[in-house]
Amino acid sequence: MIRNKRGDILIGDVIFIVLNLVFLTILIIFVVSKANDASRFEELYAKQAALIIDSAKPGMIMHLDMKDAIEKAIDENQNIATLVTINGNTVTVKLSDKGGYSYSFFNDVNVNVYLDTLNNEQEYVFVINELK
Amino acid sequence: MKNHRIFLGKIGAEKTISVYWFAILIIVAGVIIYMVTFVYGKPYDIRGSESEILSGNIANCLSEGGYLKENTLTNPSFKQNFLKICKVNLKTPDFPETKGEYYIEVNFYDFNTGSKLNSSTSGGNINLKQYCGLEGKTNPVCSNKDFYVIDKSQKAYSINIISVVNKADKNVQ
Repeated sequence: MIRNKRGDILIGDVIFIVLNLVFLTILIIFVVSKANDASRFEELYAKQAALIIDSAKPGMIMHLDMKDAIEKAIDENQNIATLVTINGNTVTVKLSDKGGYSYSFFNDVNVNVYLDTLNNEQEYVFVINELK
Repeated sequence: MKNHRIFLGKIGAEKTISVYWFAILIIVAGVIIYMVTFVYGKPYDIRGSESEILSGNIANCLSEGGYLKENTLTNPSFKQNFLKICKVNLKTPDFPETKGEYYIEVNFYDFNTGSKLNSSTSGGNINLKQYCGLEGKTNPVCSNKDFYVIDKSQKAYSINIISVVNKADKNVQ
């Protein structure tokens, strides 16, 4: 009788521990997935780029460190040379197939943007010129 | 026999504890999910920086080294074209339904008399200005900048720049 009860306790404990581990794993996956969400990086870098362009003057060359976003884009099998695009006065950052975030800037300048291949491909370069 | 009773009591207690334990876990999970969603779900609000930069750009356009730039007050087309002259583009293609997400107002005052000059001008969506000074995170963000300049004849002017940025849809939840 006592042996059977001991057996019940052991199975109960194992189920209890397994359920706890499953629960914690799901929680950790949720937190990590939220923290590494591509859309969060898209918004962050689109807004940073817009602020950089707004505060720039013609003739300036600005570097934006986008290491996190580039790593995310590589995970999503994206071409890292075309993550940042400028269309009119809107900057768009796209790190995944279904994503993309656009934000407008008010500085009426011409902006050329490209991936800095000389610096371990971790930075984007913004070249600010007069609007023709 | 005594030991056996104690043993059964322990089983009951452990079952009760495990029920409460899972209830606690669910509460903890709820709190963590709420906090993570609150932190990562909230957009970055950069409107304060935008309005400060906008005011700064206009100020740099009007003055240089403490001197009022030539033709700012004398050029009649400045009043109508100050956005173009100051290289400011208020179009916001990322807000297709908008009536204007920016407002800029430039007021020139005679420093000695305090009277407002006719060269004072504005651009953008004037309806945004009414929210300046009001509390509320969904309201547009305003920046108010005052500075003094002199022209080449040493006449002093006071310039007030009000810039307002709305863009609430992309900056507040």
